[in-house]
Amino acid sequence: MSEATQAGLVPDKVRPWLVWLNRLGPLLGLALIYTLLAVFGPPSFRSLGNLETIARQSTIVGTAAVGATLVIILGGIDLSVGSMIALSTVVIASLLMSGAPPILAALGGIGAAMICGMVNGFLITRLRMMPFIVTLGTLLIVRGAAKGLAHEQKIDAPISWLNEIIATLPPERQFMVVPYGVWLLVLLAVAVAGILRYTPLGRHIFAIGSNELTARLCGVAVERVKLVVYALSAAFAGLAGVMQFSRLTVGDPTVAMGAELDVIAAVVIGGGSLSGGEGSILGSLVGALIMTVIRSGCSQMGLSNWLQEIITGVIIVLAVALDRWRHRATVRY
Amino acid sequence: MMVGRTVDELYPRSAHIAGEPILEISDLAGNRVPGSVSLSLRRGEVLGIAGLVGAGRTEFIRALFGLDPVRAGRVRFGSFSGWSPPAARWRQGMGMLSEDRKNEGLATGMSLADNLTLSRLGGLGPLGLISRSRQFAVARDWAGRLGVRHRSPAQRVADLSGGNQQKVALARLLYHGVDVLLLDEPTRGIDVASKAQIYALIDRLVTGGDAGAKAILLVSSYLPELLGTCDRVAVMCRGRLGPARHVKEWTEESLMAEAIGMGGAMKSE
Repeated sequence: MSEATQAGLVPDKVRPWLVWLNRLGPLLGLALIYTLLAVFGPPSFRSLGNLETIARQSTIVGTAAVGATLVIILGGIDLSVGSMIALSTVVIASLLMSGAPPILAALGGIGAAMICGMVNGFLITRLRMMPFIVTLGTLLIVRGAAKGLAHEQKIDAPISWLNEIIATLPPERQFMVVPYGVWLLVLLAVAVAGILRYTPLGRHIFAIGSNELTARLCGVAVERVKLVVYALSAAFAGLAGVMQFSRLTVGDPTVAMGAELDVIAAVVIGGGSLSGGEGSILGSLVGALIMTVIRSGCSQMGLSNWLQEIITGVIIVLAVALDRWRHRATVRY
Repeated sequence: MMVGRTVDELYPRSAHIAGEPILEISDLAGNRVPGSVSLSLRRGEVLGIAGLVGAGRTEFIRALFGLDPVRAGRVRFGSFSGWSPPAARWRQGMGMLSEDRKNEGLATGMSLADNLTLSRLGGLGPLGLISRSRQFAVARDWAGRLGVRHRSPAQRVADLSGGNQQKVALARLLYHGVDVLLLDEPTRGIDVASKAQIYALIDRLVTGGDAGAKAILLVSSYLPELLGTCDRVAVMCRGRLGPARHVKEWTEESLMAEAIGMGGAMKSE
């Protein structure tokens, strides 16, 4: 027996280009789709202004996807994201109506969502229930609560700076390139990516998703980490609610129906695995962008809604199929 | 033998000097098994636990390490007493090697470095952060000391052979710097070369080669291994742990007889 096979090393050549393809896969996909649409689409798609629109339109799903990435790396799932976004907009509008300052209203929306997330985490850890079932339940509960709170109506709110968070920039603030909300998302995404990579909490999240028994054996406080992650995910959903409110300028209990699926799709397109242990913040943001680019491109080419949906679906399946193929083909470092 | 080793070479045995008792257990009982376990483990010794599969040996180790609940009994470990969860056990200086390497011992989808350092991620960088280069240096160092054949600390554990995987799992305990090692079937399903390395390591640890003599609790179903590496051996039968006797007082036959509950019958003959 040669030394290499005795040691159980995979003896084939390491292919560095595949390693890089693995890391940059979603980004390359985004570049490819954008280029295709830029070449074959109408001139309006190529405009700089459209890039800004795409960034703004990806912000709501992108923000929620940052939190959902943590949950999915952990090996869990959070289906209540859409409902938490709606609840957040309703709470914000109600608080603004009662005269609260905008910052408090926004924090109120985030806080309300976070409470829902803690309930999710509590049910999953203490009662040892499946995350899918728990969050399927809270999906309905939170949506119902939002509707009840709003008396099944949209809640008008006075004009405040919250409306500008992801609105198109006025001419005098063009130097910001994109509105506050987008910058906030970039900042938070960098922070969370750093936490995942460079802190014990981040490594613990990966460890639990990769093998929960190993994490337990190594003294990881599995229950506490799960609670923190579901609460964090909800906080990001609440923040996505702030952005959603900014777009609507009213509280709407029926908004973001099914948004959880867009969010999960973004994470999965970005390389997240629903069996846990894999995923990246950058990937998920790219996933969110890919979906917006397709939507934007299709609508500007005058394609019908049903065709957009089919294309988005095909992209999701393709992305995951490619991901599996890349996994088989690469010896990962 | 295939690899040209004699039995003596496979089981190296230096003079072990048993020190003060570091772990004392009396009448420990879990939910179903173990029914009753009493033992005293000293620094500088390897205490073997024999018995049939299902006798409650693994359950005993897990209860001791805080992975399973304890129903009754007293445990004193160093200056700590009572039941502690795994995180506390690690802090107190106790480490456990799982019998199920693939499903519990290692997160095989994660890197060698992550697996090796998972129980002690503190101190790998400034401000409690993990510096990749520091983590990799630590992993390279310990993987080297245990002879883990690998390409890079970032390599997935799944890509290593069984023996090398087990050495990574063991390296975790050594990197953590525990005083008491609970080893559950440490050589199951691994190649002979790795086995020999692990036996040599066990011998070196209790003689205090690197840093102070450690104490080892070794659960094994392979009798020659118990007789070859342990100082004392106790037999578990239907959830009860018998008295620990010097390894010279045991033979494979007497261990087996005790394990199936016929120990008394043998002696009276």
